[in-house]
Amino acid sequence: MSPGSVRMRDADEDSLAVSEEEEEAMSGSQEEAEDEDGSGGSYAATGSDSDPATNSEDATSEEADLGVLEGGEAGGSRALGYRVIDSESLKRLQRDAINDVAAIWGCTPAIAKTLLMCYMWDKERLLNDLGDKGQDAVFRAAGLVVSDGGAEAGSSQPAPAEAAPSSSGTITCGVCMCETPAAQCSTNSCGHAFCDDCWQGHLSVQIGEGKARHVVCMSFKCGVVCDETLVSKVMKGDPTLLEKYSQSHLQSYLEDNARVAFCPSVPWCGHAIEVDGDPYVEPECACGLAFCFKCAGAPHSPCTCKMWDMWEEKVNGDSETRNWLAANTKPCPKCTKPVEKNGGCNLVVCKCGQPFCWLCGQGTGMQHTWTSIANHSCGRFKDELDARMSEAARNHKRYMFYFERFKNHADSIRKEKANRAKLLARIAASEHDGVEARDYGWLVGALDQLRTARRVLCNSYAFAYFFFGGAMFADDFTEEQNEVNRNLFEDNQEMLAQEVERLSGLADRAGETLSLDSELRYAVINSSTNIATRITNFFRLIEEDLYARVTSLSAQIAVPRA
Amino acid sequence: MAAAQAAQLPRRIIKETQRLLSEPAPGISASPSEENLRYFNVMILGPSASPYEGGAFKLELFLPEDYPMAPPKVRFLTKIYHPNVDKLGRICLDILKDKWSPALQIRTVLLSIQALMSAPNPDDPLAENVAKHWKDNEQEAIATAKEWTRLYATM
Ligand SMILES: [Zn+2]
Ligand SMILES: [Zn+2]
Ligand SMILES: [Zn+2]
Ligand SMILES: [Zn+2]
Ligand SMILES: [Zn+2]
Ligand SMILES: [Zn+2]
Repeated sequence: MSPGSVRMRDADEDSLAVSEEEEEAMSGSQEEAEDEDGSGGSYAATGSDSDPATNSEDATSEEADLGVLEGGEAGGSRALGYRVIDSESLKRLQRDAINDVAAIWGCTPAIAKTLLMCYMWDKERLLNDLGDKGQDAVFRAAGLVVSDGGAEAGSSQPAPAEAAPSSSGTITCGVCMCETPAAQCSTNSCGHAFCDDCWQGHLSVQIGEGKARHVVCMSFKCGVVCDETLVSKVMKGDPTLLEKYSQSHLQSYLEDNARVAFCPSVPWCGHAIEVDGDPYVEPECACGLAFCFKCAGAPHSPCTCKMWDMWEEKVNGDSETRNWLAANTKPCPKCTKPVEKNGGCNLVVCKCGQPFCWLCGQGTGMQHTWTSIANHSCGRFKDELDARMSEAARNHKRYMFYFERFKNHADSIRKEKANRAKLLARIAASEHDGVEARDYGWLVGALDQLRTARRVLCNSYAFAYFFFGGAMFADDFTEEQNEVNRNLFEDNQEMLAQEVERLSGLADRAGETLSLDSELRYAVINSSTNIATRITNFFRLIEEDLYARVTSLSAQIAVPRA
Repeated sequence: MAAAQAAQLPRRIIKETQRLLSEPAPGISASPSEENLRYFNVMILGPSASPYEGGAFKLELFLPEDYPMAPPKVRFLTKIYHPNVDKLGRICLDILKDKWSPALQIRTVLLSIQALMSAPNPDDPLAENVAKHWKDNEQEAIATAKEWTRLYATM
């Protein structure tokens, strides 16, 4: 949900979004952040304070890549709380996690890996258990040899028949029952020895069955994991299977890891997202798709996952909504011809020249420009206590009120997205005219801010539908409390909406001319900053004054990081 | 024909077969079929002091291609009233599934099944209704098992 990350990966804009210095600075801070103990702190992509010396040679390209994904605005400091994982970065992330545990617990990387896989890559839980339950218990559960000599292999008591080489230097393999020269036999870290052919057969079957992450010794009830030395030795004749084995270990980082979720794009873009700790984030994948990390649905904050689920069900299941969706034009208040909304802003102008407010349909006169729409307050819900209206009808009216506004902003999101793409293409084209792309960094940043704000605004109507009135929080607030809350909420919502429409207008203008006019530039930056502040205030209200007083559910939502 | 087949059979299977035939475990007999040396006809005598005492239970045992890396497939052919055996004769036994080890043998598997007949485990059931019966009214369930033994497992 952070604007900073968002702009850099939308399809064909990579080249222009980040200057080289930024990229370097970010990758520097990236690496720095990785050196943290992973105590749940967020990875700050500050773009400053980075020590170039930490950029080791071999990691540069991978990290630069990640750096782009994680980075923020030039000069702006933000912690996203997540990162995009691609196949390149996967190996490094896994290696880092393994090395961390190996360094902290003083074991080999192979043991650290087995432990981490057993703990679903939850490093904190693993280290806690190692401390609380003791090494023996944890090692036993993970299928590692428990020995008094520390983490290294081998002092359990193997059954004599399975291990002891006979006097002639051969072993009777307990599986194939063949006398085999000791040189063609291998011993697992538990001490159990079998012939290489049998080990290979065993590993083939296990890996083939998809159990590559936890192949245990062939000896009955032994349970010790086949160590990697053994695996690579006996499988060297089958590189395909060996590859499958290591690929599966690599994949486990993505699949078993509670902090990792696959991007829900269809067809899948090949990326995953790893959060730093807090799962309540709405990351933006490198493919451009933003989603709720928790429920994989569309970003829905300030709604909770549950609210969003209910909202979608309501929207998709309601015939009235569908009719509304079909009618995407509104009659002009002057000439009554149908007018289609064609810009992000809620001010539409009919071909006849009449401007009017798209939300309420009222003609507004020429003074109703994008700045004066700011004083319009049609976003407020007026609950008419009409005695003739049934409860159901009132509820439906309430829903349609919120839905219309939700839908309007959803439309604006789409329009602004298209405008943004066009603008970025034009910026890229203008590069050839000798103007550096980075000269428009302020504009691109503002568009990101606009998108975040628009999304919040849009979802805030779904939130309001559930939060103020309706059954969901009926037991949490009295009618009067509800009224007070709703007013506070709508004040904030309106403040944000005003600034969003203002920025939308400004961005349109700046995009049309691509001018570097300093006054317009100032206005855009100003508006963008205002929006960031208003989002922060809006969420403070939602979290501290609204959700905090709810006892019926523990509401956790993603908060946009501005 | 059997000799030609035997030539292709892994040494381990040949050895196991020889031992099964030459020194059978008490109460258990297993012999490979003429047509397929990986298919065994098995007979287990109901263990004494169990509801299956006096019965002779027929089973089939098949060694899959991957054996011994994969467990043998075993099934009761004779009807048996047992919480860990379902209507089709399939057996719920850990070593036939995830606890299988290539170091185990046909002999150990059959001995385990014999032990399971002596000690049914209604807490890990395959036949839900039988298991429930076993837990709710063990006396009655045992009586049914004895009745079934008399009806289906005596020649
Ligand atoms: Zn062997
Ligand atoms: Zn072992
Ligand atoms: Zn994606
Ligand atoms: Zn969600
Ligand atoms: Zn008109
Ligand atoms: Zn209006």
